[in-house]
Amino acid sequence: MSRRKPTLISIAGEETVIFRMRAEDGRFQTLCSHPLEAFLEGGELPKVVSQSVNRLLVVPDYWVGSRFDAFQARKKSVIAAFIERKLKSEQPTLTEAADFYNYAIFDGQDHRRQLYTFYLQEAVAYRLYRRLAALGISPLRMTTPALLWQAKLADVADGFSRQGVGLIHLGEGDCFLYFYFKGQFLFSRTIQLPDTGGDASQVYDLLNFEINQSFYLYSQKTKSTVDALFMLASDPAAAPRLTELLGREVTELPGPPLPSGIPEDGMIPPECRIFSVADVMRTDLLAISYKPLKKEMYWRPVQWAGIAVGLLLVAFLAVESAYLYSLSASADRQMVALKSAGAEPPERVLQNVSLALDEISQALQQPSGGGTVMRALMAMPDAVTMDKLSLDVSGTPHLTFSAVVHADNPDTFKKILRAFLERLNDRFDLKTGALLEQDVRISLDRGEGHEKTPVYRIDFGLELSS
Amino acid sequence: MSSLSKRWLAVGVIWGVVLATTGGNIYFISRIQGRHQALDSIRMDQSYLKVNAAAIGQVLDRRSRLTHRVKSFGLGFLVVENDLKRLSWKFGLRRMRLTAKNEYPDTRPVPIDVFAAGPLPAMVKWLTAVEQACPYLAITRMDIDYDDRQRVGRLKATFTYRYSLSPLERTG
Repeated sequence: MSRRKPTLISIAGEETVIFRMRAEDGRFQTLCSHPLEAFLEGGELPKVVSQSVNRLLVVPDYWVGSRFDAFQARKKSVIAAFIERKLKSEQPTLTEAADFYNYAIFDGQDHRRQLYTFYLQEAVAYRLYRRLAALGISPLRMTTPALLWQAKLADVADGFSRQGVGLIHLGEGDCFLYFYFKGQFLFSRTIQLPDTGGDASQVYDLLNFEINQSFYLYSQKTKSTVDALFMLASDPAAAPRLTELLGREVTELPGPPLPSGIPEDGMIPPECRIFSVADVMRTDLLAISYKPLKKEMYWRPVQWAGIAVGLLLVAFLAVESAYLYSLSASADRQMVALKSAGAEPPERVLQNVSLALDEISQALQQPSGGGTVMRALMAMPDAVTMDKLSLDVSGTPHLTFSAVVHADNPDTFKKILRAFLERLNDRFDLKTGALLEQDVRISLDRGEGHEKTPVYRIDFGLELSS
Repeated sequence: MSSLSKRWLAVGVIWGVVLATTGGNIYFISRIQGRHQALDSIRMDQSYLKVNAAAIGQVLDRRSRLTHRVKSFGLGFLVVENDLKRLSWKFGLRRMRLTAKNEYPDTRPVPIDVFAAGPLPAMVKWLTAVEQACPYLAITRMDIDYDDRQRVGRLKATFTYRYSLSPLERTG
């Protein structure tokens, strides 16, 4: 039985990289952490980590750069070619950026289509990916806290994709500011909060100043203003206080702020501690995937479907093949049984019968020797005496006949000859038609003993029908 | 080779097997069809032979009478000579002489020349009787010269003698 590989997520900070694995109860537990530089130089990992599937790598926001472009085309290949060309021309030092980017299309100002491109822009990000790849745990996706927040805010903030939104995440010692333009991450800032010894007013003054600075930066980048400001803080009074200081509404994010799947772990970057298991495992998260890996992930379901359907068909066809083979063998056996049942195959018997009929027919077609002679003799009038008769049936049956006609005068001879020919024509089926007087050779014999009475000699040949 | 390529290879191999098996099954189906047609044909032939056994037997019997089954040509010719001479005596022909042109052994059929003399009616009767009694003798040529003064005819006839040798006794 094949076992599913355990799910791993990795979180990279400025100085550390942490590997967390999903336990059976669904929560993530830290397996190990390494100083980032030491890990990049060749730090080893527990076996269980290297045997896992690294589903997500969370990197600091500043490792990912972004750009906005007005773009009308919808075809993926055109968009990809445009982005890769832009990255090559504007980020010439990032030679691998063309393999590490992603994009989103949204309606910008005046409902013009905008292309939002984000890509790895820090060299250390590429080093980290290569190191993870070398260990066999290439992250399937790479994202940032700001992009995790983007997905989260799309669920909880009304009109997030239509307006400018700011998020203040107030932690214990840090405050993180995130700004989004029409649903797309624009920039973030990290503010180190001073230790004021219980006097929060200095912190809020600092936040007021930094947030106003960020508003200015926002308006410079987008030529528009922040429409809504959300806040996440452990202190419920923080949002009203900032509302008062900023002079505009700061909305506290709904829902429990810290049902964290990631326990309070000092090694985890503070901006990541807020995210739950559901946040990091969601599929609609904007993330970067290594292009060949993305292609592989894209085709994987197609391939597995092809393999599964193919195997099913092979099994089905194999069963069909076995069934057909048994039918064929059965037919062969029947054939053998039928052939062995008779002493002689029926087709040979029929062939013999056919040959026999041919031979019989041929024999029947041959004229009878006795019959031919008898018919010739019976056709002769009394005044005709046969001299010679020949019958040749080697080819077309041919009868030659010589006779002597005893007549007192030519008229009598003619009558006798005519009568003879009529009888012959009646008795024989002649191939060349009726025998006529002109077909008969006639000669007069005035030899010894016939000086007074002439003897008429006749010769003719007949082509008999077979 | 990347895992993507390996999987494509697996997909290709599996679908290749699918195509090959499909081809094999098509071959089996056509073979079975052919066998069934042949079986039907044999059954029909057998049924036809069974129904027409008597008529076929007559045809084959009649055909067998067209060939003289003998143990050797010499013995066969002896029978032929005896039969023809016996008939000639019966019908009053005289001086009957038979010669066979068996120049090459095992050459069938063999021409046999017959010479005889006698009245014309006797010749006709003799010829008719020979055709009845010896269907394996087929006349190929016949010449009759008739002498009206002596009322005697002279017959020279050439018959084709169809014979077959019994197995294991093919001697002349």
